[in-house]
Order: sequence, then C-alpha cells, then structure tokens
Amino acid sequence: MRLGLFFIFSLVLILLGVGCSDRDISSVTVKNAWVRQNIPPQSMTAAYLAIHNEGMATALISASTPAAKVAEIHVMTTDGNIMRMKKIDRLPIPEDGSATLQPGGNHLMLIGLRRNLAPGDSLALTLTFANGQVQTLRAPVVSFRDEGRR
Amino acid sequence: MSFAFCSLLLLFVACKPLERVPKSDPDLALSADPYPFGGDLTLVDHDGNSFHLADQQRPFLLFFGYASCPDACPQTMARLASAYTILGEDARDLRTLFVSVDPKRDSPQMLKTYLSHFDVPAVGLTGVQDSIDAVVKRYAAHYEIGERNSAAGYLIDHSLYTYLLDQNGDLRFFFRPSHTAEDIATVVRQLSR
Ligand SMILES: [Cu+2]
Repeated sequence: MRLGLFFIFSLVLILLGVGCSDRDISSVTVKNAWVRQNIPPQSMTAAYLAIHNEGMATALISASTPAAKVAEIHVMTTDGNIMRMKKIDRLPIPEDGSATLQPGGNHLMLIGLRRNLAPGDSLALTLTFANGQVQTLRAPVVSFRDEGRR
Repeated sequence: MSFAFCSLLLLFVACKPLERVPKSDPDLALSADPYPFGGDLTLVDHDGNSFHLADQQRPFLLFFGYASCPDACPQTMARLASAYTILGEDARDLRTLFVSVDPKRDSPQMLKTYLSHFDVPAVGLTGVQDSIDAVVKRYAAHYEIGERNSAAGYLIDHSLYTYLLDQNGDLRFFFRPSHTAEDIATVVRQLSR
C-alpha cells in the first residue's frame, strides 16, 4: 500500500517533470536585436541582442544569417584593462535568467558579409537553443552615430 | 618574465589615476601634471607621411586598435564621435589618433578608408612592428594575438584606454571604456582653461 502510494507519487512527479520540459520548449524570447553597420572593406561586424529565459537553464548553441557566411558566438572577458575575445560553442543561459549581448561584451560576430550593411538595412538572424527552440528575428542595422548616443 | 612585466605595467596604469586625481572629483579631473608615461611618438600617418607628435602643437585623443576589430574599436570611435558633437567648437583643435596594432593587415590606405566612416577628425597611424611596439610600451598599453580559431582570422586582444594628450604632447588623462561621451567632453573642456 505504502509502496503503491510512493509509485503514484513518483508518477505524478515524472509527469510534472515532462510537463515542465514541454513548457521549456518555448521558454526563450529574444529582444532588441541590432547589428552594427560594417565598414567596407571589412566584411564583418557584430550583432547584439537580449535573451530572456523563463524556463530551465539552456544555452545558445548557434546563430546564422543569410547576410553572412558565418555567425560565431564570441564572449569577452576582462583581464586587467585588456578585453579578451573568444569564440565559444555555447552561451549558457541560466534558469529563469537572461543573457545580454551588448557592445564591449558578448556578441555574435558576423563574418564574410554577403553585402555591406548600411543604416536603414536589416537582416534576419536565426538562433538555435539547446532546448530545441529556434528563433528567427529581424535585426536593424544601426549607424555609428546612433550607437554613440546609446 | 614578460608576463610579470606586463602585469606590473598594467598595475601601474590601473593605480596611477587614483593617486593623482583630487578626491573631490575622482574620475573627471584633468591631471595637473603630465603622467610619467605616454609622450612623443613617430609613426606613419594614413596618407603615408611621417607623423611626429612633437611637431603637432595641438591636443589629441589617442587609442590603440585595428581596422578589423569588430566590437571595441567601432564602439570607441562611435563614442568619440558623440563626444565631438557635444564639444562642438570646443573640439576645434582636437584630433584623434588611431594607432594600429595590426600593421600586417592595416595599411595606411586601409586605415584612411576605415576612419572615413566615423564623424571623428582622426589620423590613422601605423608603422613597422618595432615602432608600434615602442609606442605601445611608452603608453603602458598592451596587445597580443588572441583567438586564432575564428573564421575572421586572428583577433587581437588589446588594452582599451583612450589617452588625452595636451598641446605639448603630455598625457593628462586616460578614459576607460566605461567613460561616456559626456565624460570625455567634460575632461577635454578643462584643457582649454
Ligand atoms: Cu568578436
């Protein structure tokens, strides 16, 4: 009897768990994406955005855009007064937390641009998360002038 | 050994303003005396001419960067452009020196094209590796090849101070990345007083 109760209790817990991870599939939202204008002949630039997570811990595992050959996830670490930039395979996003990609910090690096990105233009960014979620959004191209005022 | 030396230099840079700047305005007061580092330099400008700081007789903002720098350098240039807008006439004589730490990829022509995209009266400076390294050392700055596994080719990690030099070429302040365009304008205005 006692074992039966335990069994039912466990079953409920497992079902709850499954229910939760179902919810997690759509737990991530991405906001405020923008891309810095590039400077020809340089064919790369950086993209920034804010990721909010209302579910279990996950990670950004890849990014892509039709406007560039490659989109890498770069993290910045400060070491004294030197900023170090590293390419990483996954950017962890904590449970019920967020990850902000902003100038001077972590960013997506768009390498091998297929066109010059001038202010007023925008591009599609597709982000893939470890929880299976895939988000596509449009990111406007921001001029240096507007960036300086941010 | 060289790591220890760099660490010492960095410590020196990090601690100096705390000693020098009056307590009442710990962040935004021009140093009354020049800092004991920084100073004269001779490099090649973005038109291919020799550039000798001591001949210039005007104030400068100076920072180290490279043209394919994707984040920190454009961010700094954008902030400087904003500072120039705020300063207006007060920045009449002020020029910006962009010292390349990537002479392999940054030709004078490349620097000129790069800098023309910003609303900053800037001069790109480059030179042979040894000349650049000497300037980096004199300014207690630092750079090194960082990530090599990027599709972008190698990336360079570098220190992020922007130095303010007076019309005698003496170093009077340096800005951190956390200083805003308004902060820069506030300090630059003190130069003309
Ligand atoms: Cu990067």
